[in-house]
Amino acid sequence: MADEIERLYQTMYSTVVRFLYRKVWDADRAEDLAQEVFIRAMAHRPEKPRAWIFAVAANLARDEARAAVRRKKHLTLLTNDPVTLASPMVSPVDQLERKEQLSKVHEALAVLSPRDQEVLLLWDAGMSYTEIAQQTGLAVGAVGTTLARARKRLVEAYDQQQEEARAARS
Amino acid sequence: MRHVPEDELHAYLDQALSRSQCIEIETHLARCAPCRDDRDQIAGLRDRTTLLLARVAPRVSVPPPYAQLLARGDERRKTSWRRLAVLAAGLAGAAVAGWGMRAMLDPHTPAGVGLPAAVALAAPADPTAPVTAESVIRSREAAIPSLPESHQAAPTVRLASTTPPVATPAATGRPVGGLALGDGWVASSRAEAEAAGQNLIPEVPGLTVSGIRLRVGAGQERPAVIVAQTLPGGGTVYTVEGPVDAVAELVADQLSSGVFRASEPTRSAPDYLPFGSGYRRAPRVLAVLGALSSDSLNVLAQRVTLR
Repeated sequence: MADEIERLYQTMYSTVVRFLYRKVWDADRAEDLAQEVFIRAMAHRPEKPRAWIFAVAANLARDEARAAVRRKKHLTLLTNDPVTLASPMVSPVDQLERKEQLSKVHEALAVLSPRDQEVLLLWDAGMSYTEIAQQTGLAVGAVGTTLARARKRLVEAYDQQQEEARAARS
Repeated sequence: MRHVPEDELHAYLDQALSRSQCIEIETHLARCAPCRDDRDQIAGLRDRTTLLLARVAPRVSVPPPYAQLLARGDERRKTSWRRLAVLAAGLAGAAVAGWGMRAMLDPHTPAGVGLPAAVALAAPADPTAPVTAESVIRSREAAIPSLPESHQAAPTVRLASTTPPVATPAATGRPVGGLALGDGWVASSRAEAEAAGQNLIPEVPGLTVSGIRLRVGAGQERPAVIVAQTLPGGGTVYTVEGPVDAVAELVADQLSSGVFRASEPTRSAPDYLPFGSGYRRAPRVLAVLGALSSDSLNVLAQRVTLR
């Protein structure tokens, strides 16, 4: 079992960081929380570790969001943008463009209801419909419906922003 | 002809359907152009979503070594025990101060006042974990010297139920196996330990008991007890059960020595005391100590029975 957690740690760490990052929007914090998830997994030895890891990650991200609201601390995407720390080979213009893209996707995701967002992010983290259903309490049959709606809304919201940006420029 | 609903096409493209459902949909798609268009549109939507989400990914991070994470977990367990020790000391202090005040205000108040019981304890480990007590017991992970014969000799001290033991120097403070103990721990046979205040003797079923130590605390609660048991492959595990402060203090000491690890603190069975026992109720915990992994110790702690 110890090996199972270690194996998952090696294979899933970056997926869990990515999942958390899209919830807390702070790369360092996402890493801290991901490590916390695995430390807890070592102590608890869950029966279904994969699903357990994402359930705990989602809970930690929720607690984090609540704490952030309590502190009235507005986590802004741009002040702690991990992409800006990426390779120095990327030109400042490209960096700026990526920042804008990131910001737009972030805003488009925020348009989704919490449940739609959760289902979409879990799916993108590689969870199956059954696992998503178990974690969110949805029926397996409802996962497809939720994903269909979430995908459509995300793309629509993103396209709408693009339209507005284009209109503002012209 | 029934067209394929949108959510089913999503599920189909997400490979979330059974083989028979896939065949049914594929048969329909082969005949139905509008559904094929829908499928292509949804496939495009799917790809765009994946692409958009890929833009909100942090830099690729290298996970810190697993051993580092394990060490942090161990350190946290130690800290939780230390905190418990400090909390218990605080509670005991408060209780003593409370009795003092009570005694001053009302000299007729009996001493049987319970400790505040609200001590937060960590949840026990998941009992469904595949590390089994049997596998722990079978494996030889530790090589702690077991209790020497001379230590197993019946002690010369018999504990009266309400008075503190008058221990001989030979029996007090002597280590049990590899466990270095402070003052006040008295070697005891099982019969004596049981007689010494209706003590329930905690033990891991199936292991040979190699020694028992008792310690009567400053309060009026039942004594704390350590039961040393030998693993078949060699090595010893120690089940410590008693009032929170006594157990927390002992465990914190042993953890700081670096030789032993401890299970998570587990709340003991309720402290039922027969009428007229002379003891007062107190919150009690138990823990298993040994040179095993924390997981193994947690599993053993789950199995401990109080008899």
